[in-house]
Amino acid sequence: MLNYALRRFLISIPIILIATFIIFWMISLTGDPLQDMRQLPNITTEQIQRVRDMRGLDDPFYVQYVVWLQQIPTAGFGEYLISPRPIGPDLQRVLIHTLQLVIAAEVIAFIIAVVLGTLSATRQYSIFDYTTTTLSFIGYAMPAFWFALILQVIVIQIFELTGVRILPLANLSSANPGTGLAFVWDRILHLVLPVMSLAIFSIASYSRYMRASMLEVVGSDYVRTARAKGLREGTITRRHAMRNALIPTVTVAALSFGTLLSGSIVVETVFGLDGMGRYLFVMIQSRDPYPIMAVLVITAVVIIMFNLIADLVYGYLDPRIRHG
Amino acid sequence: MRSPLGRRLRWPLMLTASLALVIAACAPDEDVEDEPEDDVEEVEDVDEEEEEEEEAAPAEGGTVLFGDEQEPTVLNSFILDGNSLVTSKVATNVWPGSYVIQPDLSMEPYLIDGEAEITEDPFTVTYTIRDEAEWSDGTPITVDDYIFTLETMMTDDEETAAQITSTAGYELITDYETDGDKTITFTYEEPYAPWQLIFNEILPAHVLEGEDFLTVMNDELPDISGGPFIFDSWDQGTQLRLVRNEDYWGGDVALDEIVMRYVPDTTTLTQQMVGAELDMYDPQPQIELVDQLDGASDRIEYEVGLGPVWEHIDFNTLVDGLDRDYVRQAIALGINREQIVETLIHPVDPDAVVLENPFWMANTEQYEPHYDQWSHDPQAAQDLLEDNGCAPGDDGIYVCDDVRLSFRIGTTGGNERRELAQQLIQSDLAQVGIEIEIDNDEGATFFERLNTPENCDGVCDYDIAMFAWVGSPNPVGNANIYGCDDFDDPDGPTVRAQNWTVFCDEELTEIMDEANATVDPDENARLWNEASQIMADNVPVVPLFQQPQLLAWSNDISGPQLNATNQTQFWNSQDWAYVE
Repeated sequence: MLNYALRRFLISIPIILIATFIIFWMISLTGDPLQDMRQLPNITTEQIQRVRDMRGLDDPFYVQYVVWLQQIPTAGFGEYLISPRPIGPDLQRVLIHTLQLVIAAEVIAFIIAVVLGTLSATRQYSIFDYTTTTLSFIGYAMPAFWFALILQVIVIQIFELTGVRILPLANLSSANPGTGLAFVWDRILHLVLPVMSLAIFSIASYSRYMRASMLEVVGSDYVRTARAKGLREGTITRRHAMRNALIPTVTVAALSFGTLLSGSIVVETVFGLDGMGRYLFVMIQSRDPYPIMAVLVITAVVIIMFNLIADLVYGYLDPRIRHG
Repeated sequence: MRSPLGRRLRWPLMLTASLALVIAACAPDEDVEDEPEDDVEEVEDVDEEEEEEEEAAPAEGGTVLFGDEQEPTVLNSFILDGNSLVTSKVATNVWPGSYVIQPDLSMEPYLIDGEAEITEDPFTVTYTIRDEAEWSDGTPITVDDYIFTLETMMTDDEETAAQITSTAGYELITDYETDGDKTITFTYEEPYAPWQLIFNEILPAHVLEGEDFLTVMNDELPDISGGPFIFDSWDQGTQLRLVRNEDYWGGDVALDEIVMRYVPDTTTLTQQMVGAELDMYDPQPQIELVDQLDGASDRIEYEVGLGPVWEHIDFNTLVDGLDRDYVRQAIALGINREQIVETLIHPVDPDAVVLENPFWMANTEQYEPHYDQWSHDPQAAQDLLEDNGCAPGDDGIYVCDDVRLSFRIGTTGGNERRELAQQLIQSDLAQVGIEIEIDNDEGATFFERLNTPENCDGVCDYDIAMFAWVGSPNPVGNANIYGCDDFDDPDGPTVRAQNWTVFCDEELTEIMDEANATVDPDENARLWNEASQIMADNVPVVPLFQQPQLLAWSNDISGPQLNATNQTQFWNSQDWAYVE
């Protein structure tokens, strides 16, 4: 298993390099990164040229790419375009915030989806099944930004009707969040709406996989055997059916982690969360290629890592794969 | 772009409003019984005024949460990365300046005791710092701080110099002389008309001397202030906190603190204002946004006014057709600018007017409406073209000396207001017989077509461009935008750095240069108006309107007043207070 994991990891390195080269090339096609600087009042041609010289912007893009690549091991992700400030600390900060959001959304989505999918499958064609199926399709179809706005409107309406602010509308924390447990509670409250917005699509998606998978398993011979042996239905579902039905759902969840990361761009922007998505959004607006590259590389690495994790978990849940 | 939120918020608000009306209609109206209506209004007005006076008593303490779409990159407002309005919002609270730009773009002395004294030959400016002015640590603000600020701007260190935003004005100072701790006279190489705009932020020499200026104010400011608030903390990506300067020399400051909260989405900020999560913000005003604020008028006040950002169309005078003044004049006559303002700006700011001068904004006292000679008159536009030998072709589009009057108009795609204005212009000029094709690009790409030399190659890739410049209390920068040099060169004059119209007029350039060296305010205003008249006669540019600006605040706060200049909304933050 270790060899397998190592092999997968090594294969991912050239994939990341190719991906970064393509991304760097595409960013270089978007035009002059100093365009905004040119529009500053009183800016001189000499100042612009100084920055161009300092950052080698007159070099061909592949030379710039190599210089950028060399900075990764030696200087984190290098410095911002105009001022010599390191990108690394900002990236670390926003990555932690995004992981808080995305992991919370993923875990909650997975738990709810497993429960809903299992109950739908064991109560096939019931009102509950029809309801969850309908809601799942609504969840699929609903854009995250729209759902986010709806959640905000609901909170505002409750405030206007009752004068009670049940949840914060935006930001990662209050102006005075306190310390210790008070800080943690404040953070949890601020993440409720973003997590709901981000998780809704995943709940819809995973629950459908879980339902389909459970239906396949509950009709299988070994479940029928278990039932013939007189085991209780709950035990059969929990111990025999669910574990096997989880295999495809876990794989889908791990592979979808990248989708959640990209979804976080919208959610973080709408809720003003200081995460990688918002950071990317702001940096694209400022046309600074280096932090954009940094975010995209991190995203690529995370996606590849979760693909690897999916394989490993798959092996753990299905001994046939592990032993094979 | 229409906000889905706007529509979604509307129905519950309308429902609430309807219920309120029903309840109001059912309530007994005892006050009006047997009273003439006018008298009742007067009585009610007096009562309301009394109530307001009672309510308006400022209270000590409290926190104002100010929402902002943008976050500073660094807190050093003197370097390139800090050259933004949002950094100025912090700096205005902390670094005192000689003058403060007022909402009407006039200048009022702040750190100095009365107006600075100037002489013209040689040009000198003498500042006398207020006796009571001191830093928050009790150190007096002195001439040393002015000298340190000058030396910082004109540093010899190449790395730092490369990062300094602009040395305009400072670079003309050749000498200075002090008279005690509070009076300093700067001698300039030549007269500099916008001298009031420099020394607008004074740095504390005794704290920053010897520090690395490029890093000392990146992520935090020193624990010192000469303004009403002191920098406290910056949780990047979330908020920045300023706390009251207990020893502010300018008087008592009521608020305990101001917290700037950063959310990059206007819709969300508006939600937060309506949901009472924010106390103040200054977004770009849109119709839906104003509707939402109106819906919460029991809690929110707002002020909309003309800002210094002015929209206009520029002609590329190297393009066939547009190189002729009568064609540009016909276009100016053909565009119904009144309708553009009425359609696009009045829903947000009913008092907005057509801008008729490219140098002085309509809300300044120097303003003279020179472009009103081109008020909408399609018949006059056609007459002008025909008087110059143009004739309509088979398709109704005029042809002048084999040049068919068909032009592209470009702007920053996605900017709804500009795109709508383009459509109105297209429709107006179609009635005249001038064809307009819309040719937009994403913001930065669009500007590359205007101003990047390698993309211009002698002729920039645009015919007519619609965009905005930011006006300032003095139009000094316009000499760079509409001026040329080397008029005696046999190959023709050279356009200055930002002269994207490539329009060169020797008299105009001379007048603008003279204005920039004329420090007498009346004479300066006269010269810029003379330049404006030349611009209006030749029409390299057609001004359209000033963008409206908005400041909204919770109505339990007194003191906020819209200031859309670089001084920012925090220009009078010392006067903000919660009312009891």
